[in-house]
Amino acid sequence: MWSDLFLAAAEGPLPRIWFAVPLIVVISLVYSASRYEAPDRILRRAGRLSLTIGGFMLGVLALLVALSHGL
Amino acid sequence: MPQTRVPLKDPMFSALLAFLVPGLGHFYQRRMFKAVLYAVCILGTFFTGMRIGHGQVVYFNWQSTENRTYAYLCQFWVGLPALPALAQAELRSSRAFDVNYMPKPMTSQFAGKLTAETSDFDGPIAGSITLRPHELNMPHLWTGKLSGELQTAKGPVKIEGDVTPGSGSLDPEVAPSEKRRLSGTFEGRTSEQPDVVIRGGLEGHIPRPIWNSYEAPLRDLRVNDFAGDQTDLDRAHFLLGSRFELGVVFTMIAGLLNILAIYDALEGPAYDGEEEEGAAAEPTPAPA
Repeated sequence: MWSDLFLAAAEGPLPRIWFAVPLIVVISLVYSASRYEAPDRILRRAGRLSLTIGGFMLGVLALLVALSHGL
Repeated sequence: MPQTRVPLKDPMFSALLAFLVPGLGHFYQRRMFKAVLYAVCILGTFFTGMRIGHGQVVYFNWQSTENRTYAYLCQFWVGLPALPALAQAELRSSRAFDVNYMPKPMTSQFAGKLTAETSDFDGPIAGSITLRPHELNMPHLWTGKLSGELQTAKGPVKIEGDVTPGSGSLDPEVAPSEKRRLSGTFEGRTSEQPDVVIRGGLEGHIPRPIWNSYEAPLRDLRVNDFAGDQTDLDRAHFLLGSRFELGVVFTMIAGLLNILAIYDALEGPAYDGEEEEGAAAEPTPAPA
């Protein structure tokens, strides 16, 4: 079960930031499903939204890394 | 209410079903793809959060200002999977959360460890224990009769004995753990050497049924701040670390996502058919 994999990851050395990935996917899918009705459109929009959220978060991460460089 | 081309069979009832079980309202409306998507995504996120947080991250506590579980206001919207938290907090007798409370006899499986005065009888012990109040009208003073098998260095031996009244501690009947911890001073005899009395400390647990552990509240009442008392919440944070917050976040997000699903069951999708956003940017191909 995928929740068992998560549990193993939560107790292992996997950085906590990776838990954001399934959350981004789930949020994108449910949000897109509440906007559209056709399955193909839901999946396409969810993919785009996942990339947008992921890209935005990576941008913020890069900014924080840059700002904290040398500290 | 906006007009929608998607047939929404009895929207109010569908929304109620969608609240109770994510995806059920859409299943009722025969919107199968969405039913499966909502059920898998929302329930998957909720129960993953519960697993990450060892089942201790969804509970309801509204006793005092600093101990209110605001996270539950989000978790609540997952519906039936989150509703037992309300029942555990509001419908239970306060005695169910008392340590050492044993109002009536009960028999249960026990697994633990015996630390005997003589090291020959140290070892894991498992068997059946009968707990009962030591005297009538004194439910906080319990005693126990244990019968089981002790694993010694020389091999397993049958053992029987009693837990001395008032010598130990028994976890509350209701708490967010499948194991109800029990400890006390034990005095017993083995079947091989019935004339030798074995004394020692007994530590272990009896199983706690799921209806006494699922979404049971974490008690955060500290008896004595200066004595370094650990509350249930302190212990959960200590044991789980960041997994506690991670579990809370997963379960909160699951509840918030179900609000979108409920609204979808009630009103239909925001962009329906020709109204869909970006329809002009994605023209349908002309028939050949």
